[in-house]
Amino acid sequence: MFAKRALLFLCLFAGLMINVGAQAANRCVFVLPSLANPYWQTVKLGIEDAAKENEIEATVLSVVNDQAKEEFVNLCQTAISQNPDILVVCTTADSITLRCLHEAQNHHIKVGLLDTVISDAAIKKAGIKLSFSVGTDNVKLGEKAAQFVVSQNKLATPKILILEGVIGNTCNACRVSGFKQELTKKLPKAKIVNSVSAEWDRLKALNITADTLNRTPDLNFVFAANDTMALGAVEAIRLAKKNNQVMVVGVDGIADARKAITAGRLTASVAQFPYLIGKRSIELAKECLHGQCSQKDEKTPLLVLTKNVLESHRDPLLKYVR
Amino acid sequence: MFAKEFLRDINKTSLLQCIVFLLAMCLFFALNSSAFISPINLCNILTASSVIGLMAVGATFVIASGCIDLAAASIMALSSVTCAWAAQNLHYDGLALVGIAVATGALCGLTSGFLINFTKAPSFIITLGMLSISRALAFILTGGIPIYGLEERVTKIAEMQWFGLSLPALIMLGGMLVGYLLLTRTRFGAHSLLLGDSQAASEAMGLRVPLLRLAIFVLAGCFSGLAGFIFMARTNSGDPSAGMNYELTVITAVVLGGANLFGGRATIFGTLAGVLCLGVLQNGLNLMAISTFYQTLFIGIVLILASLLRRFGPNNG
Repeated sequence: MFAKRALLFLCLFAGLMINVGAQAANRCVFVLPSLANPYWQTVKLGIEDAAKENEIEATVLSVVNDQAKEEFVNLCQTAISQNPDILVVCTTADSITLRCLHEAQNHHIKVGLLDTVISDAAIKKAGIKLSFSVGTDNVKLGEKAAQFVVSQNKLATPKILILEGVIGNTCNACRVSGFKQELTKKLPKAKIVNSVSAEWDRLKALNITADTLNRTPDLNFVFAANDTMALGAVEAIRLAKKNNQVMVVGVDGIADARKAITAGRLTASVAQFPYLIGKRSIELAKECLHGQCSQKDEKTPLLVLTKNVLESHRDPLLKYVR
Repeated sequence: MFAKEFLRDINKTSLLQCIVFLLAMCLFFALNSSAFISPINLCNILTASSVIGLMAVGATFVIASGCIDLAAASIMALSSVTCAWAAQNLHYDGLALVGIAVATGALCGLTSGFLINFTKAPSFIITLGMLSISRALAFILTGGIPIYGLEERVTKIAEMQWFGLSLPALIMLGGMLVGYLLLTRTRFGAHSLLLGDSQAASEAMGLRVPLLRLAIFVLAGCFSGLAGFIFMARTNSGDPSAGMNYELTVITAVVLGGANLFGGRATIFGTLAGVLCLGVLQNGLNLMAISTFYQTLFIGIVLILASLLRRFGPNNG
């Protein structure tokens, strides 16, 4: 009796496995940083909407804590074990991304990159053949923020505070270096009074800005490597009653930042269209599944969101702002 | 009254070393940055330390009783979220928001305390679980997106000033005073220290240990809730990812102030000194525009130096 039941159970299990295997056609798995961040939630939304449109089965896996590098390694192995057609990865550390892609490739899974900055040389050295790469050019993003600061500046030697994200994060490094390089080029006399990490943290950004305002009461600009820190800086400036003196420029164009721009609290945010990044990643994956891997490195457009831009509703890119 | 007890605390704990260290840091930063010693900056340090300071008052009782609370920062984030939600959707302000924040914190503290008593598991494990649960609740309530752009009457709270001190700084100092009175003037405070010294002795004396532990965690939750309210008012938001890793900063501040991590010894004067040490250090490094790489190095060196100083003096614990 027991043997019969065991056999029946095994048959059912095998059937289930075959069924799971059958569903695995046109499957795309994404490994993303923590969805606790509104930016990555919007990327996910773009992926899900485009997956529905293009009839692709997309699974989004994300870590709980961006700082825990080994969590990315574990998640990557889970993704590979699902044996998808394409694995699209974005982690906060290049070495982990390369390792993940390499392992997936060894399992004959096509690989793509999403919003990750890794040099071509490093990819080549790791023996990885990318199907596609889509994301923001973070250096350009920093440059764009610097260009905005230059366009708004009316002083000979403006004083600028830079709020950096977590040290060691590639996106942060690219944004900050892009900003500094462009500023040196366009406004060589500008004085960076401090360039310090607020670790993407709102309260830390608030406290650092308050301290800097105390030391440099004639501060003119704050550049924050993301909107959360920019919004912290905005509160410090409001408390110091220097709204009319200090302009704050953030990065990302998240909903809260847009709200603050419309309310006249935040000066600008360089939006990088996470929804479009998610959408394009699915469209490029689909091309690849149909044997037309572009292998191209696609950079999504950037838009400086100001009160004028948001209120005029004229820019066609605004439809991708979520 | 205060002076006498202050001197007693200096004799009993390593508070003196902490104060010497704090003064040495103040001197160093005053010599290196002219802005440091200005009254506005000194008020800034108190304001910047308000969130950590309030959580540290609660943590002082938890550590004094021989437990540890790893959930303090997550409870603070959850309270900031519930508070911001009530401000935005129910249009509450002032004391009603304080009530909601404190009630959220108290409920989380009650859950932690109850589970520690019920399971007899170490507080480390239970509060680690509570850390995840309260953080997850904050994410679920907000869908991961901070509640931003509160009404002016709410954000105005952070702008209020009395005697040159901001309201967050005054609330922190008020919290310290309440903590001080509870720890030194009530049986609850004495029993908390006794519990940390020896649970067996507390039970032999007829203390209702589970009830006492429950009260300690509820108190710590209330202070975390109040910190969440201050966070919301200062940042104009209820942020589910607020205060990541702040729990370690809170524990560091309490221990730096002379508390014994294994219980039985803690003072509010010490906690205040520990909180100020960390606040002064961060403020001074910002004023000197030290790069982040060196800031991290300095903070590490300073913490080790402060620990080394504890080896010298009346109490080398």
